[in-house]
This record gives sequence, C-alpha cells and structure tokens, in this order.
Amino acid sequence: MFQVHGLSKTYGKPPLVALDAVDLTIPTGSLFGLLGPNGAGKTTLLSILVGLVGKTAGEVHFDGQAVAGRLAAMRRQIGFVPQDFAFYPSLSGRENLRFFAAAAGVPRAQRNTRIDACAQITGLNEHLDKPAARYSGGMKRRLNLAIGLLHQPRVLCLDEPTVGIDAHSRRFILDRIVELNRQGITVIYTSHYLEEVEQICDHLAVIDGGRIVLQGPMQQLLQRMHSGKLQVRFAAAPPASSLAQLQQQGFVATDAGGRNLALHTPDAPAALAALGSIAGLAGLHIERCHYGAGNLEEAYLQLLRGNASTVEHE
Amino acid sequence: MSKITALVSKELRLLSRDWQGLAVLFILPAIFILIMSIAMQEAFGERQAVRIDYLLIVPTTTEVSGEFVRALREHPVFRPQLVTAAELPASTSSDEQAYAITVRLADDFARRLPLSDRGAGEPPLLTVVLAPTVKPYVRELLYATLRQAAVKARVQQLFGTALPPGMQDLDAIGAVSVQTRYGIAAPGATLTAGRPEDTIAPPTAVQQNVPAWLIFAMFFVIVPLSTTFLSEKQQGTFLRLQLLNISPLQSLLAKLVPYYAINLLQLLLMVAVGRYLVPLLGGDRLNWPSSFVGLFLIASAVSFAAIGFALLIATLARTSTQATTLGGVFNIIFGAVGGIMVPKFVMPPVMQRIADVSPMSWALEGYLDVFLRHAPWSAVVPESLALLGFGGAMLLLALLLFTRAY
Repeated sequence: MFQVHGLSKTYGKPPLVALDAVDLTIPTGSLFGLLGPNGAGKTTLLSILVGLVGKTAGEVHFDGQAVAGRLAAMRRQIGFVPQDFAFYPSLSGRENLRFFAAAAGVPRAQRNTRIDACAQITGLNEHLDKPAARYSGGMKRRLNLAIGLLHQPRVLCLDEPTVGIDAHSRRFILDRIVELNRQGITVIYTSHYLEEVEQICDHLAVIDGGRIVLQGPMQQLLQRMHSGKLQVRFAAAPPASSLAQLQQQGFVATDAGGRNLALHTPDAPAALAALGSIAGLAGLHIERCHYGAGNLEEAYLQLLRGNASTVEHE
Repeated sequence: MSKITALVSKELRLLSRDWQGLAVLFILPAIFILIMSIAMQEAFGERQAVRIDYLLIVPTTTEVSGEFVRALREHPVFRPQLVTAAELPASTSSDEQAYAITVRLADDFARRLPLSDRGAGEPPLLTVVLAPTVKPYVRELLYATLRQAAVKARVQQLFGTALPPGMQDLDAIGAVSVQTRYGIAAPGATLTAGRPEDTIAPPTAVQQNVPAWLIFAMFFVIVPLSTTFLSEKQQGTFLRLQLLNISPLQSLLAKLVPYYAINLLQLLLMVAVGRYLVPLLGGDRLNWPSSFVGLFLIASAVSFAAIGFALLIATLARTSTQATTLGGVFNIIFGAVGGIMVPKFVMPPVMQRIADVSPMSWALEGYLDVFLRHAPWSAVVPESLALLGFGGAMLLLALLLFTRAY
C-alpha cells in the first residue's frame, strides 16, 4: 500500500531532524502498528504519508505510484482518525456525520446509508441525535472513528484511538478495527498501549530518533527478538562447580546466586541437551525453562535500550 | 459546491447553538441602542442647536462695538471668539489658522456703525475671511447674523435720541459693508474638516446610535467566529477537513457567507429597534434611509471588513480567549476612535482627523450618508470601497497565515 524510500524531514534552522532516511513498507491489507517513544517521529511520518506535511527528501509511493501530483486522489482513499476529537461538540452525532459525509464528497443519495452503516459499525445508532458534547469519552472516540469511515476509505490511519477511555470501550473499538481490517481495509495504527498493538496488529514498525529501528510481521519480529534466548530458573542455586560448567557452556547468571541463568544461542536443542546433562549429573531441579518469543513490551523496551548504539533494519 | 454548502450549513448550525455569541451579536447592541438613544436624547437635542465658533477681531472695546459683540453673542449658532486688535500680534497667526471664519471690525467701526454706509464708498466696516470650503449657506447665515447684530447695535446706539429719518428704512439700517476674502483661513479649520453639513445638522441620538452600535455589533462577529475557528484549529478539525481535500480558501470563504447573513440580520434588527422600539420608550424615531441600495451597499462593505478582520485575528490567535480579548480590544479602540462611542462631531479637530483612520469611522460616515444626509446611494461608494479594501487586505493576510499553518 505504502512504500517509503529514504524519507527525511527536517524542521527549522538550524535543521532539526524529525525523520532520517526512513525506509518503510506498509503492506496492503495489513494492520500495521507504528510504535515509538514521544518525539520519535511517528506523527511526522504519519503526516507525510497522508500528505499533511511535505517531505525534505525521499519518496513516498501509494499503490505503487509516487504520491506527488496525485495527493487529492490518494487522500480520498484515506480515512484519518486523529487523536483529538476532531468534530463539533455542539452538533449531534448525526449532524456531525452528515457534515463530514458531505465534506468528504459522499453523494447525497448515499449519505444516509453511509451514516447508518458507520453508526452501526461504531455502535452509535442509539445515540446519533444527542449533542456530541454529551457523549461519554468512549462514544466520542467511536464518533471520531465513524467520521473516518464515512467515505469508505481503503486505508484507515488511527492516531492513538483509545486514549482516555474505559476498558469496555477500548475492547469495542479494537474489535471493530480488527473487523474492518478483515473486511480489507489497511489499518495504520499508532498507540502507546503496546499490548493493544501486540494484540491486533499483524505488522509492526518501531521508530526512534527519526529512524525505523525495526519493522516486519509481528510474530516474526517477536520470535526474532527472542529467538536466541534460553532462560532457566533452578529450584535452588546450583553449586559452584555446576555453575562453572554451565558458564563454560555460555550461560550467564542473571542474579547474584546464579539461580537464574540465560543463554543466547541459535541452537536451542544443543543448549537444552547440555543443560539437561549438567543439571542431571548435579541433581539440580529445573523450575522453569523458557525459550523464544516474549511479549512486545519487553521486546520494545529492550530494543529502545539497545538502540542508543545499534540500529536494526529488517 | 456541495462541500461549500456543507461548510456554510455547518457554520450556521454552530452559530445557532452559540447562545453567548448570538447574545453578543443581537441583544447587546439592541440594548445599547435603546439605552444610548434614550439617555442621550437631550444631549443630542442640544447639539442640534448648532455651534459654529469664529474669530472676531475688534479694534478696541467701545460702547458701540461692545453692543455689536453682545448682539453677536446672543446668536445661538455663530459664537464669536473675541480678540482685540491689541492682542492680535501675539495670537494672530495661530488663532486665524484655527478658525474657518474670521471677522475683523474696521478700526473706525465704532464711529461708522451708527451711520448707514450703504454706497458710501468707504473701506468696509467688516472684513470676513472664510476658509475655501465654507458652504455658501453658512456664509449667508453669517452675513445675516452680522447684519442683525449691526441693526441691534445701531438701534441701541440711537435709542433715546431723536430717530433719524434713516430709521424708517430697515434695509438701510441693516446695510453693512462687508468684504469677503477666500483662501486665507486654514482649510482644515473647525468648520471645514470633512463635511460642513455635520456641523450644520448633527445626527439625533437615534441617528447616531443605531448605525454606531450596529457597526460595533457587526465587528463583534469576532466572538463566535474565533471561538469556532480556534476550536477547529485546536481539535484537529481543520486537519480532518484538509484530508477531505478542503482547501484553506474554501474553509475561510465558507465562513464569509453565514457571518454576512448574520450581519444583515443585525442590520434589520437594529434598524427595527431604532424605528419601532426606541419611539415606544420615548425616543426619536429613526427615519428610513434615503437609499436602501446605499444602505445595503455600506452594510455589505462593513460586513466584509468585519469578517476579514475577525478571520485575521482568529488566524493570529492561539486560543479563543486570546482571540476574543485581542478582537475585543481592537474593536473598542476602533469604536472609541471612530466615533462610535463618542460622536465624531463633538471631537476636537485633531481627534476627528485621527478618527479617519478607523474603519468604523468610514462605516459610520457611510450610514450617516443615508440616514442623516439624505444622500443618494452613490454617496456611500467611497466609504464602501475603503471598507472593501480593508476587508480584502485582512482576508488576504488571514489566508496567507492560515495556509502556512493549515
């Protein structure tokens, strides 16, 4: 859907680098999570993708074609849901939807159908005639989402769409996003809630300091980040001789007593065999053994900690 | 077109829900008009007894010239500012520059006044120096005043003695030789700044207050406009509209139409207040304008200027509080300087010149053309063009700023 090559963006003088030679691919039909700490460049990247901000250098392709010169056509295929409640609180939900449908160029004959469909998707049909100012936080988020869907976009850009709402509303919105994605809409999703991204996104990019430090399919990335890590916890601290043997195999104690050990290895079976042999001989009881994928939060924090000196590209 | 229609319709809906904004736009000026028109009725009534100051240079104070001056001082319109010839060398240049009319009595005024000097071939008894822009009817009124004072002084002088045969001929008594010169008094002096008619026929309280507070109210579109505008800017609605391929120009133009409609509604309401409500409460009735086309033209121009200015402030401000404060302060300054709060005709000449920089002053002049001066529609064209120019410049600046920030 989007292909980005060497994208850079600087602001002001002296130039402040917001994006630095970003290469990124957002596959059609994906549910793409964009993560990064505050000030990492997520908003700038998203703004350039949808044509709100101009780039300093690089290329952005949409559907295989350069965006330059066909911005208006591209925008018609994008639904943008900003983090703020970008609608009119003094108007009712229906009036808001009617206005944005007309502004989006939805033909008059189709407007009511689209409004009903979007209200149905977001569960607002019972509340459409209330002023939006009287909506709860969750309902406001859903109205924000409904407006982004009015013109049946092929791409939906969601900027922190679940900020400040209760668990029930969050669950509702996440389910709808997954459902929309299943219907074929490409979703670009930014959030600070890593568990949300892990839960719903199938692709991921992590941006830090204006550079993409990681991108690819979610499962592959999680596995890759934890692929070589074997973590062992013994029921009791092993004797010094056993610990020395394990250390000779490459295990590193992760606590003072050596009860928790870890080993980075691409060959898990061989490492497990060596571990079993040493533990068996010493009569050590293995309480827990874990190899491979961890959760996204752990991986993300690990990645950002390491990013000060290392930048990885998939 | 359907996008613009949607934007306009949205603005109208937002306005209809903004009760505070509507109160500022409609109720506040209506109340101002009622209060000011009734409270200031007497003050304006007195003002209608026009006062025209002029410089009167007398050779010396004698009984005869004293009688003449006393008679002149009784006149309700022309008010002499007396200077003796002895005082003149020190003050002449500045005094003569300050008055549009200067009357100088001949050195032998006291001797010759009791005599009828018709056809005497002697030097003039009075010399009147007029600024070039003094209207002929003002000049004729002044002459009549001088003649009347001369008659009174002569009668007073002759009263108690045997009436000479000439007393039978009133024209002969009133005959005073006057020489008139133009172009010596300063053209910018009291009577001639702007429109001499203002001095001759100042507006009634309702004629002043209806247009004045209407203009003020029209410029106060800044309150609802900037509130909406800044919430759209802050909440990312403009961002959303931009992504729906709505340009900054479309966004701004869409705001012109509803607020123009609001301004025209204000016009109707305020004229109705002046025409029907003020008289009910004992005030004067506002007359119909001399030209409805002229009224529509000047109202449209004022509206364009007011909306352009409001949009510029809204694009400059970061918060709606900042916009309403900034807009309010500017409006009050424009109003205070431009003759809205204090009528221009009571201002000293310097302030009247300063008033000319305020777009509210241009607007007021335009309204007074049709409500007070009974002018044809073409009379408001200069003021309308000035206001359209001002509005256009404001709108252009607003568009430039908005496009950069959009």
